[in-house]
Amino acid sequence: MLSRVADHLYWMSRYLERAEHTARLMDVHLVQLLEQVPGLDTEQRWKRLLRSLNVTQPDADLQDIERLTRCLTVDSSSATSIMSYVVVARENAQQVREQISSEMWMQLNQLYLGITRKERRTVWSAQPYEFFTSVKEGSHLFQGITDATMNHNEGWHFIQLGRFIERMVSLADLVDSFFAYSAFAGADDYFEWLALLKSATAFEAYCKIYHADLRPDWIAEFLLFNSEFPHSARFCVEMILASLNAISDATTLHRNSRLHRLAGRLRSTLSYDEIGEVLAGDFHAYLADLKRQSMDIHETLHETFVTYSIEAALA
Amino acid sequence: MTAAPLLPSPFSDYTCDRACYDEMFNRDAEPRAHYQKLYERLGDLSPDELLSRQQTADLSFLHQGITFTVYGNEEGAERIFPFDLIPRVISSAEWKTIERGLTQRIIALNLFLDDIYHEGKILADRVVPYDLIYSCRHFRREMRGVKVPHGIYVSICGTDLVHLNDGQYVVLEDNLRVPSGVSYMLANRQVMKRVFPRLIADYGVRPIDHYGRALLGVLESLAPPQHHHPTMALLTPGVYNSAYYEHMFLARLMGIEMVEGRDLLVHDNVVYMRTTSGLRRVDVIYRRVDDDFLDPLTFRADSRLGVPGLFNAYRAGNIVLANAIGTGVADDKAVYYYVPDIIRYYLNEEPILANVETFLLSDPVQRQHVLQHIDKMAIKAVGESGGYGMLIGTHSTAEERAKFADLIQANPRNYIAQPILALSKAPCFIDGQIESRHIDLRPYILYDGQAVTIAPGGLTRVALRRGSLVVNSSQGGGSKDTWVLYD
Repeated sequence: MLSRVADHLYWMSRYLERAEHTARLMDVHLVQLLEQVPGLDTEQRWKRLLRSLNVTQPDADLQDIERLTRCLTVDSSSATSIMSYVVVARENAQQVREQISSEMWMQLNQLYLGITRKERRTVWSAQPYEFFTSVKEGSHLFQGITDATMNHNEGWHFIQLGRFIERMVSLADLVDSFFAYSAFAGADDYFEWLALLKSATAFEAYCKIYHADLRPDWIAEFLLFNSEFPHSARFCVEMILASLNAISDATTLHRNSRLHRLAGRLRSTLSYDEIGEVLAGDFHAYLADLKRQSMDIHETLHETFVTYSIEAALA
Repeated sequence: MTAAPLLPSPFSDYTCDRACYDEMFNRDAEPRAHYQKLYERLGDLSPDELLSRQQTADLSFLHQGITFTVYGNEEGAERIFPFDLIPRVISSAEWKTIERGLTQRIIALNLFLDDIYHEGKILADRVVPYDLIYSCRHFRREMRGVKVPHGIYVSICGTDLVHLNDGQYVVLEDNLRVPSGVSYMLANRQVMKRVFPRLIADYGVRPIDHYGRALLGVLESLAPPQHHHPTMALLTPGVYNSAYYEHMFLARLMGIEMVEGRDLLVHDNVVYMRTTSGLRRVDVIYRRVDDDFLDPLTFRADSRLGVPGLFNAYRAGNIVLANAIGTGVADDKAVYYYVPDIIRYYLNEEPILANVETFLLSDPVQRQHVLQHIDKMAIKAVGESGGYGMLIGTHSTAEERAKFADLIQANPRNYIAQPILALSKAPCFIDGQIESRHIDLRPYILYDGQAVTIAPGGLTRVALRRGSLVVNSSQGGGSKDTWVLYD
């Protein structure tokens, strides 16, 4: 397939995943603010949210809920709003419309039309949850339609790579920020760990394994090392490796390439590390390393399939 | 406009305009035989039902993203191409004449192009003047002596027809470079099948859905015979082009790659595309980029849409382009004047479809006549299309007429004049009621050197503004589905 097409499919998928992730975090965050649960104060919560989304503080006071929310949701002039993510995802899809199925395009287009047509002011004042739900459901529907209507070919695997690399990176940021702020919450931290799990759609899945007892070490273990939960780091790296193998079969890439070695090393880390040892060491550095390894995979993927030199290819 | 006889609901606001051909009603305001069923069906439907079908159709276009971009408008910058609910019906007898006429025309024009880029016999025999050809902006000197597969220059063509008051279809212009609109023809039919399923079935409408397969077949037939599985690609100027939707639609329909100039490169006169498996050779390009922009080394140096070195690869016979380079010379509006002679010269037949009466302004006598009657003429620049560079005498100011008169005097070769045509009218669903509007017809013709394939029907374009004669989408035009009936 064309290098440019692979690139657009990858970014389409990454941006849509980012939109969904942002919608989920915002949703959990705003509920926490409304319920005024004990633990952190409002300002700390906003700081933690911005850190877990890895975005810089918008030009707004940390008490100005309405303005901050707008910057992260419907403000198309802000590059880190859900609106901008959906717009960029759709622009990427637009570039490769003949490669994706018409059903996929129609779903993404309807998601876009649905959120751009909404009266902007109403998002905060009236129905923020409807907005978040429409983004999350729109993204889920798109994934389902993608799996059901597109050939599971090379292009589909680039879509998978975009989704799971984005998920891995954002999970590392999410876990890092919640552990960093856990010290401020003091003893009454149940609601904070609950928020972390809900931010990763992990609460119910976690309870099925560990029961409703929320312990930070179990939560970290679940989110990083569980092999069955689709938002865990381990699950993401398995999917990344599977897609890399499929792409190797479809292209001329050798299975012993640098790309495979990078992904294989990350899988080993996530498969064999012990949560006790990891938490006893520098957990922040550990998560930063996971993120760096994911970014290495991203960069090598680009060099291998998209930006390779023509001289090398002709040789 | 003569007084109109009264028609029953829902046609009570409909005017049968005697000054032009009415597609649905004869001169006694009775529905024509091939419109009878449609007439009855429309009579059964309330305006509300029609409106709800119109909304279903519009929503379907919006969700599929069959839109064009409106610039300078931040919110919802995309609009759908206006679609009219009421189909245009063409009887099988009418269609047979059109089909024969278009077949004859595309064969003759291909022979003409092959001739002028090689021996130039038609010029030596003084049927078409030398200076007319060599002064044409779209004549490509670089193509002299270049062999193209099977001698086919134009394999994809869209010809604009108008239906005159005497019931004759005449050719308004040929589009031999990169004709567009075929995706709207196909999309209109898809939507009509959803909003009027029973009527289509009862009517016996000839299908058009095989167009994609036919187009692919034409591209395959142009590929070098030694390549059993030729790699084909559609070259698009990119997402900002107004016809981008059509490009992606056709690429998907045919299952071929859609490439931009930046995806291609030429090495040792061979064209490659950049893929995830390295570089891959390309054999046939269905190009939707104009000649001028194809290769910055040969044509316009400022083009960023093209591929440097493409023309050399083309001349070396390593890549096929459809259509060939340099076909624009045959749809020059002054060359159009000679098409009936071209048909007689190569085929020894009389033209089946007539031309519109045309005045060549390089001829002093004709020029004098036109300048005296400029208020009743349509003046067109010879190399333009899409409704640009035009003056409609009856709808112009004295100032505009004076400006065009000066332009003509300065460069008479660059303009032609035609009497203002009475385009036929058809019923359209406008603002909740049925009114009549002017329409034309663009059938799409495919030619592989052996057989000519024409999708039955084509794109019927509608001038949606009351009284307007301009059907171009850039100027308030829309379209409707076109039904050609079985015998």
